[in-house]
Amino acid sequence: MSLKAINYPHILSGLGLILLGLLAPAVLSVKGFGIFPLMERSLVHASSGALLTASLKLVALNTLRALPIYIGTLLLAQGLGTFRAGAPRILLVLPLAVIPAAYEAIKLIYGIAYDFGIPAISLMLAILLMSRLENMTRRVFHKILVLALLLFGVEWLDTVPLLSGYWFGRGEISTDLKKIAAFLEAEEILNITGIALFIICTTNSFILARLLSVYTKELKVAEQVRLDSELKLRTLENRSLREMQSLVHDLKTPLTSIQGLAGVLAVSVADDPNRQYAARIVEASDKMSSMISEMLRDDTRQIISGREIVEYAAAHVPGLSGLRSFRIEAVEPLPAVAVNKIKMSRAIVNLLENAMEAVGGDNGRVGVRVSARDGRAVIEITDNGSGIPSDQSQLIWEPGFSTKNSSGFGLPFVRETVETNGGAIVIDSVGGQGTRVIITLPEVTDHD
Amino acid sequence: MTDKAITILAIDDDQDILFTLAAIGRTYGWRVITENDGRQAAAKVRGLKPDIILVDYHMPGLDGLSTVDLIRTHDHSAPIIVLTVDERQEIADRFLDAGANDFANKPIKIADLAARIRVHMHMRQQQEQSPAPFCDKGINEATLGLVRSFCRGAAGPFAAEEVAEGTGLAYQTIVRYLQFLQGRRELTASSSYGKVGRPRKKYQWMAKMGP
Repeated sequence: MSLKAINYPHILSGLGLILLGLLAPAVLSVKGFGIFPLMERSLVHASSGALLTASLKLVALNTLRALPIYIGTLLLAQGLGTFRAGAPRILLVLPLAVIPAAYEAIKLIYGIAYDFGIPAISLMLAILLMSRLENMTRRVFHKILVLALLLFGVEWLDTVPLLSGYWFGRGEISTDLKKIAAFLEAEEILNITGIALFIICTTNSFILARLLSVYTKELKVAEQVRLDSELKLRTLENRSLREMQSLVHDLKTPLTSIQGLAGVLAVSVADDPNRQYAARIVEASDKMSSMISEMLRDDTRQIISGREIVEYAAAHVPGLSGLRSFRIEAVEPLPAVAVNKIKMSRAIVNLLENAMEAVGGDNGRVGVRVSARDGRAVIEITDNGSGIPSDQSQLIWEPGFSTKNSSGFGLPFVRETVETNGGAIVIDSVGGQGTRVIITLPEVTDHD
Repeated sequence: MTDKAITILAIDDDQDILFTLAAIGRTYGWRVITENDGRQAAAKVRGLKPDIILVDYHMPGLDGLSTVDLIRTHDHSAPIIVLTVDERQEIADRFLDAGANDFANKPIKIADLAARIRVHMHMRQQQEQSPAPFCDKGINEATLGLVRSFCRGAAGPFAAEEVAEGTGLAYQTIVRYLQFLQGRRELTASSSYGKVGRPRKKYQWMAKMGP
């Protein structure tokens, strides 16, 4: 068996629980549970009610004492990879030996003999069975619930006088209880109560196991569905990106004619305004061509001031300049960055649009501050808008997540753009009070 | 050879671009023959004996790459300059392998194109005076000589862009030739990791060892 199959945290907590099981009798005693006075009262007053209460307490006590040992064994078995395909058979024996060994230890330490009868054996088998339930292996808490209910049900069989001859309820107190029942002629009550509770509890335990298993499976399916839709979104996103790229690509063909013919004009016409016009057309088409190249290629960079990007972006957000409070603050010395200008300004347009939408009315304030700090250009976009509720602060980065019926690709695009340009982005928001987005980009000092 | 005598075969599926190329040619006094189909153009090459061939990459029917291939099967030695929007090096490499000599990125700046055409005319003249065989697939001896002499004359380490600017050849072409020279251990390359973006490669000419 490879060491990979071994889960050390499981083994450790398993051993811890078994140890707890060994310590349990010191805390959980028959005396502490007040079982003896109840037995005495049932004898003195011929009260089958007191007898039933005594047996209930005994079952509860036995359950509480045994539970850590059983769960510990279950965890141990799982931690050792007992049920993994190809695991050595010997591993099956180990957990099977743990429970009798623990019982023996308790007998040695406290002189209390836990009865290792049919209930214990069937429980052990139940544990082995349970660790094979694949969907149950994920949640330890589920297993504890199911096992506790099963244990509580099975322990009732020890109080059933009818089963006394068949390796059931051979413990000291169980035997006493059954003797009292025989004396009070209340055996039938114990028989019916014990068997009924056994059936109810074990059935419920199985139903619970099944339900939890289905629940876990459905969680898995839901997770898969989420992953699938994410994949679909990404595929769509890629496709639209490709479409856009080929469209942008095609723009270069007419631009070739524009630039070429303007160039012909610029060199052939005599020195008059027309020559200048032609030169301007060449210049403009040249700018357009580099914009197209930047749109097509992520790794195209130009060195530009942080303020220039922000101003370029702000000019593309409708209504922003109408906002009385909007202003761009640039702290000298102005940082220069090497970025894909088109994409980076699209990213900032996205953030400014988000800010605009968040502030809504007339009292909205949107501010941009550009500064340099520790060799990095810092662009901060602040607003006093509705903010992002803290439960959504992680979701905003998920593609397709949107609070305003948009595509939900905005912020993922922003983050991707900032990161591919060597920067980082942090969003600091308080629901109802506003948002601050901080982008830092490596500053370019020597223009190489 | 004066500019007047230059015959250029321009192959592009876009009529506007052919019109533009013809207009540019007229400005410099070149004869520009236009053709919008790669196959027909390749058939024309033998009779026409153009001095320079300009070919577009994206064309319906026979694309630029296959057109270059077809022209080179006739073993015509006219320099082929590829007009392309696609700036990817892998496309450039495939073109050079097929036998293209250089690139002019679209949109075309008239002065750039003129300079490029003149460089190739000049190289062709030199090659005719001392004919040298093709030394490797996609590597032309005349172009290699030009790149080599620039590198040899460089004062310190240089980037591919500087060689492109200095020789009048396209960046993609230069990258390919620099890689070739590096493979022959005539050049060493080192990456300088700037603060942003891809590392930039700097090349340096190695003094030849031995006799």
